[in-house]
Amino acid sequence: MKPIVWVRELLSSVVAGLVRGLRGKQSRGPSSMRRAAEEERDRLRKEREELEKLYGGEKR
Amino acid sequence: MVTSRSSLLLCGLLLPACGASYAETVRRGMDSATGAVIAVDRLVGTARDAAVAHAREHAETVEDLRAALAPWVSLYEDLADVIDTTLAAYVLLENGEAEAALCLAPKVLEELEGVLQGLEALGLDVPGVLSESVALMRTVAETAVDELGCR
Repeated sequence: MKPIVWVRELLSSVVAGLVRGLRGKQSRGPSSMRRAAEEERDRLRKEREELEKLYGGEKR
Repeated sequence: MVTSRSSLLLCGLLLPACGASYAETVRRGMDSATGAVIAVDRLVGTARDAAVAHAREHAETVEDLRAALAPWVSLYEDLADVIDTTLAAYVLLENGEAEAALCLAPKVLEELEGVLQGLEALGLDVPGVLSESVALMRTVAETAVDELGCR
């Protein structure tokens, strides 16, 4: 195989690998940690609301 | 200098690969921050309920109640701030904006430090997972500042 052909094939396989890697990353759906963060945000919201109700002076 | 110049050259030639590497760095940092917030929320639950019950029982005025609960309100605000910023970073990552997501790292670091100080103010133990997350986020924030000039 001529060197120039070899170099061209090497470069095109590197570029194809990069593109494949990037597409794989971008097409990934929401990560499990992102879902966990969303659930935690909702949980914290409830806990804060309860604290703030008390903080606002609601005393039984 | 030579290394920095070489890495800049490499980044210029392989820009997509650098973007991918930033994405992994941010993802690791944000996953760690999220894990730390979840851990702190679980760990302080019992102490918070006890503090609330104690304050409701012993506070003689609304001001007393407020004073007793103020550090808890502040801690929960800090925890919520971290989660809001990590969620914003996840959204940016999913849109392929790894550099913008990386620029949120200094903010998350500041918010995590707020959580740490909040726990200390309440006299509560700082869980190892939070200290580790602060350390990791410090390196991620340094990358953001040094390599991307984020402020």
